[in-house]
Amino acid sequence: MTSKDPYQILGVPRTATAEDLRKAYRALAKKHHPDLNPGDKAAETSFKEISAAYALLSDAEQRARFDRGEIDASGAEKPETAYYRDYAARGAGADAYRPTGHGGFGGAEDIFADLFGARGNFRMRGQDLRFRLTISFLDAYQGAVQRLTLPDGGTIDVRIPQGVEDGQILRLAGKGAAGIGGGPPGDALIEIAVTPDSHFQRKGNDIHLDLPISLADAVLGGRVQVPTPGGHVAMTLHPGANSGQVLRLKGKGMKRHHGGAGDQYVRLLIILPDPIDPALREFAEAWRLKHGGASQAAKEKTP
Amino acid sequence: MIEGEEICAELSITTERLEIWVRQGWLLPAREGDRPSFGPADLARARLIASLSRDFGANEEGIDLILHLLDQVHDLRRALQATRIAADRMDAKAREELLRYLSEES
Repeated sequence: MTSKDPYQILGVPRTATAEDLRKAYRALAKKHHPDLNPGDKAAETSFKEISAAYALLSDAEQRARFDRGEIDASGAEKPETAYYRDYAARGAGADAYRPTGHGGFGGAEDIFADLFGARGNFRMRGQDLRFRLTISFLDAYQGAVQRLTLPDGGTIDVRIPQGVEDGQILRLAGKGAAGIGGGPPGDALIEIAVTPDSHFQRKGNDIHLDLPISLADAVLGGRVQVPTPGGHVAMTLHPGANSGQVLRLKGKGMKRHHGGAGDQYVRLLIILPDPIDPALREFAEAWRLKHGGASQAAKEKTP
Repeated sequence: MIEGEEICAELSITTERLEIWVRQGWLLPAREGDRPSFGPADLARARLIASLSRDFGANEEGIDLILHLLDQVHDLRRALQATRIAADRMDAKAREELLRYLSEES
């Protein structure tokens, strides 16, 4: 896409040495790196151009090919990357890096206290505090109360609603940083991470599970016990149940926030005894002789 | 949530290097049990640290200083942002007055 001359972008002659290039790049990058110029909105575009030009020319082989006219300046661009400033500006996950005032300079609160404190009539709402809380699949299913320890040593009890999803953010009003000058406190924002379960898989409000069944249950049918996050339930298998077949347990999925629940889907997996017992082996041999072999039969049917 | 290994792979650094950055306090990942758990903001900050060291040739003391100043810049920017939002809520006359005082003082 970039058709501009990379030498021109870096402002160096075509005879520039590797050291010249590096110096030119550093000088420009200092002025245009988005993280070193957080207030410059255009920095991202110009820095992209500069780093693409430098990526091309700092690679001796690429540079030689470009000089011989074998390649143009396109293709050296890096994919879009998120810069730290984007997070710091929104406070998204970057709050841990905010200076905390111990005596000296620290925090917006101190800046305001410094600016307006003398008059003593400045009020400001406290900052929102962000936390991350990891919970088990089971806690996400049935809901739970978890205690969160704050950086200042205090604790909050977080009530986790039934059916909470991975990545969901819970807001606890008034549980953030204290306000200034009598202002109201901020909120605590808690991002929930749900640890995946080794058996149950969540898709939306439904739960999927692989259920091993015995050969005898598959052939003859019967009652089997199926684990669900809420405990075992009995399910009827019809004779001739097969691997891959999916049965639905209505209402046994995740509970929805405003009542109701998803379903649980149970995929059957026939598990042969290991080791195969002699009686079964004998039976299978006789069966194969009589039926000409299963794979044989399948072949004959294929047109 | 991002694993430390993913950060190391993207930035082509060793796990020891990443551990040093965390020990220096340059990165403050959340903890999951005894494992560090990184977020997108941590990854972006790690990218910046790698760039300071590789592209700008900053040494350990230099990086420490830059991050320290940068964190203050971001806090000042937030304070300014809050001031701007507060000014937006003032009535038009008061806002004009504030702007006039500000330009007189700076």
